Amino acid sequence: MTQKRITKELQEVLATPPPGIKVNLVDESNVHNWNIIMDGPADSPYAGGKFQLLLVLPPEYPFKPPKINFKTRIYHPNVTFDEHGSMCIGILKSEAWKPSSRIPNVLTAIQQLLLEPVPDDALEQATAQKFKEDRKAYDKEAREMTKKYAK
Amino acid sequence: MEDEREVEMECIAAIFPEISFDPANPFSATIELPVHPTSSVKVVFPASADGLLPTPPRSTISGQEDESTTGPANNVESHNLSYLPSIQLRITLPEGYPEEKPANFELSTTPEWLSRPYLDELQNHGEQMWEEAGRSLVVYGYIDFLQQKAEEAFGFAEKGKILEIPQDYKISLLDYDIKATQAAFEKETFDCGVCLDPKKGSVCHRMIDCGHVFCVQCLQDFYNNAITEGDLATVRCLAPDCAKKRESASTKKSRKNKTLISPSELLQIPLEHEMVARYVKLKHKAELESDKNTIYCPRKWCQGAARSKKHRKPDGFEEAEDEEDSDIEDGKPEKFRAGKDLLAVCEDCSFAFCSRCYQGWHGEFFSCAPKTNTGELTEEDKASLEYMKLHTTPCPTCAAPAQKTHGCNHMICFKCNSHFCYLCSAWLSPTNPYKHYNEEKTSCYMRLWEREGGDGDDVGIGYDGGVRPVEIPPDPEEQQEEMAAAAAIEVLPDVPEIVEPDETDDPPVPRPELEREAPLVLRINQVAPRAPAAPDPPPAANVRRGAQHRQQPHNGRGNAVAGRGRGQWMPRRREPNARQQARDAHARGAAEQEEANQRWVQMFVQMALNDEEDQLDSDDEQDPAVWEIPVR
Repeated sequence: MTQKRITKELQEVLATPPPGIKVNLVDESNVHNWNIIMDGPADSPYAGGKFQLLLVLPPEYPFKPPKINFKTRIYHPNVTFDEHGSMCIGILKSEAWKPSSRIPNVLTAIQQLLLEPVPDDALEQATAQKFKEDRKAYDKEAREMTKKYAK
Repeated sequence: MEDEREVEMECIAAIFPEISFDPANPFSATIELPVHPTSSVKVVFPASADGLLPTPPRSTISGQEDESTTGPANNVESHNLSYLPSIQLRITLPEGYPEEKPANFELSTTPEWLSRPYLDELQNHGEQMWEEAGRSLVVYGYIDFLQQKAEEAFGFAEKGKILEIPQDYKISLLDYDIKATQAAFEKETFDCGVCLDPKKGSVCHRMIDCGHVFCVQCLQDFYNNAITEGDLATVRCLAPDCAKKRESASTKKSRKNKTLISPSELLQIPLEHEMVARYVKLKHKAELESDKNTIYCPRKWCQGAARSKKHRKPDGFEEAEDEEDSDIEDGKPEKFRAGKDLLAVCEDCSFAFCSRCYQGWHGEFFSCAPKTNTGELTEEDKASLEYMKLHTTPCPTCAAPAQKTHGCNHMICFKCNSHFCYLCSAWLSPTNPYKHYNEEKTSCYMRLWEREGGDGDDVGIGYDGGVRPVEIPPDPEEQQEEMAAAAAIEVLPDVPEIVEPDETDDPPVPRPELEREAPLVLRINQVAPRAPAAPDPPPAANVRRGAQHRQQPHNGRGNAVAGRGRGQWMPRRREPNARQQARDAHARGAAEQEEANQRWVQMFVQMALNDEEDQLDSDDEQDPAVWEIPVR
């Protein structure tokens, strides 16, 4: 079931990718690891950047949630600014994950997070602080980081 | 000249292939017209008009009953029906039709849910149509007229209208509605949201409460898995946010159980009888365990819970009614409290015992002393304790132990919703839980993602792939070492040569002579060799069962367990050699913290052996069956 469902979702995403998102497999023989290229949303300081993410679907998928990390460094309150690029999003919490949630939902949730950071639930305190107190400086920093890393 | 009747009958047969002709008369045919109104019809079944009160067995159909009992006159309940029994139309075209004679239409219903006078009226309408059409072919037009009438349920589908049907027909009508609804469902095709395959309704199940449809195979797979793993909280609708929405929509406070799937629905899906029985049993257990007033049977082979009014033992698959709310509302709580009502009767073996001294019942006026020790732990309990010691962290608020299956170290307690740190069990502010990991002064600085693969031997599978350096799960070797270290602490004054634990895989050599000096240590020594021999940990079920006997670490010492077990974790990701260092740290720690650890070991074992925990314990509730879900 897992293989079949993943293949199906992959086919759908390849056929009609969500706007601003490109998907391909890390390794053609393994449908569990997806390579995602996400464009920085136009109305955000991430515009123009191309962010790489790694989506890992567990063997229990869709009974267990997928795991997703930014491979490209991103300056964002809700994503760790390190080589892991971890984030904390609701749809992927085990308790909130439902087997009928779909990968495009997950990807859209991340796009939404880029548009609207949630500083009160931040992983990077300093970034969150800046976002709240000096939005301009935050935007500037985010733009610079996007230029630097997300080319 | 061709008979017009023949032409018309041929036409009709082409349009309605289901029509059946009378073999004796080619100009006579019957057709069934289904009655499936566009909106459902409100129906009441008043007692029959002849004054007699027929009392057919009350319908037990669920889901059809409308709460409102504002039926006309005699306060009968009303039902909303989507399907009504079809109408039979018998068409006979006499000689001379259409020029001289009208077609003969006969209408009937089985049972007679439409009154005879009304059917006669409809029949007469056929003749009218014939006249109005200038005495021409009218059969198709009449059938079409009837179909339109049926669509609006002959006027009864209108809002505010109520169809009255004699009570005698109640059961057959309700039955018909259910069967027709089911038949229509089975013919439909649904895209199962889990396997994403289109499936026929006949292999699908519509969730009773919310109406979402999934295929039976997916539901079975998911719920069987959830119930087997004891993950009761996920036995809900599989649609995203479904349960949550209904939860927040419901005005009542009773949020918890309402969105869980009922045992009867699980059987309908269908799930195996045994699986549903396990679900009911686990639910009952979880209730008992979350109630600190629960007392357990002193018979070692039994250890069932004492009967309580609050959590009735489920009988069959009936959902045990939780009387908690009503008790409080009535203002006279009749909670069963150990020590107040001394007589306790085990719900499993019916043993009557005193809840104070845990002896057989001795009558109310016998003065007895509270029992302080129930004796030894079983092997299984010991193994559970060991496992919990190594792989769980208690919630700082309610002490429910949590085992992280994967993810970051920010936890939300399943039971009391406290936010806490998995590494040090510290309470975290719900508004800013990550601060704990971002401040250099805490011991958990920069350790939010430590042990992302989960804690324990049976977790985190599948989360290692390719994301980052694979987390090393706590291996038996390390466990064993920890135990060996514990042994070392205890015996250090007498046997200094084992201060440095062996780095090899060999289990520590059991030292029988220690038994005399330090029996408590020997217990640990006995368990230690088990670890490498059995790489799989005691299954979760065992852990729960052990916990059920109230031997799991409690609040204070639970923290001690976690602190000790986890404080020595090294940030492995940053140090490739961390594992080695962690081991060294174990050894060093063993020596350095000798005194503190010794105290801890004594306390831990003392508590574990102690059966008066509910009396020693604070008001903190305990619910060991609850496992934490990591927050991502």
